Amino acid sequence: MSDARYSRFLTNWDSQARKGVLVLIVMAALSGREYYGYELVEHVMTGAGVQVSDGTLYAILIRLKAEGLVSTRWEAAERGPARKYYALTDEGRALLAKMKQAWTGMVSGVDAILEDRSGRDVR
Amino acid sequence: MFDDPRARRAGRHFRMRVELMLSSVSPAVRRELLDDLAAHVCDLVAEGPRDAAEHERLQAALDRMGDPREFLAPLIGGAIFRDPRRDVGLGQTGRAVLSLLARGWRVGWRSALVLGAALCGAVALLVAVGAVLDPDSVGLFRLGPDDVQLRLVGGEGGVPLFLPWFAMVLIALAALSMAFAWRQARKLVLEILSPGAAAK
Repeated sequence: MSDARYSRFLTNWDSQARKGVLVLIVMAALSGREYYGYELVEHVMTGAGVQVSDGTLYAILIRLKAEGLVSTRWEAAERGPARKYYALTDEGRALLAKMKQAWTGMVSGVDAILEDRSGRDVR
Repeated sequence: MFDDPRARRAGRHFRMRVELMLSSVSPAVRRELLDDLAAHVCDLVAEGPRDAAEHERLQAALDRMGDPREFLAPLIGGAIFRDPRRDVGLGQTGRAVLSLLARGWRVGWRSALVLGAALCGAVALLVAVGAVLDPDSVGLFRLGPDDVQLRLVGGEGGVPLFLPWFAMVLIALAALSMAFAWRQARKLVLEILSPGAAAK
């Protein structure tokens, strides 16, 4: 496999891996404070380095709201149309705590596999 | 929402694509989603580069949003949206019937407007072309001192009253009728895709 193909494979894998934890990232972001759509997208993209379309994140917000994990409220903006703010509900916070536990377990499991049985780090 | 006609056109196109994707979703949910998306796109446009034209900022915003078929498909396929058929109570059924009747009425009279305006425009254009090509048979004719006849498909007798401005007026009338029919047809499509949207 050429360097270019390795690089492309790595880029694709990295992108898929980050997308896989998008829901966790969005919920974690909303646990700190409420965000309006554009603000949240910017925060997630710059903070987590995830490059996805705004529509993808928007769909996640819709799903979280439909599941009752996120609440919304409209607020008039200083200029332009009103903004919809998203915040994590109590159910969302409870679920996020479990998701964090699951994430920690997942990372530990992956780390264990990344280290061979002799304790040598293969990363 | 936008001043630039190109931006308005691109915005309408995006909205119609989203509405098509959400055609199976209940009107209330569809309205909420469209409002959310519109607010988000407005934010993206507002945060866009100041030196770019409005339609360029909107296009950049829509590019950032991505293809609605991709980001909405998982929601629809995953049955995230509540299926209105789950609620089949008496009140829900009554509201649905009233809504259908009102929608049918709006679609009906708008269809009649489209057909009427298109027909009016076609007749005006036909007479204008006929009056130019066959000025002895088509157009305005004086049959007597107080008798003027408008012939659409030809005839005989009378003194032609055709004047150049007559054809100009008819062509202008045809253009206005066709433009009106086109505008109403677009509203009709919106009305079918998203009840109540055409009224806004």
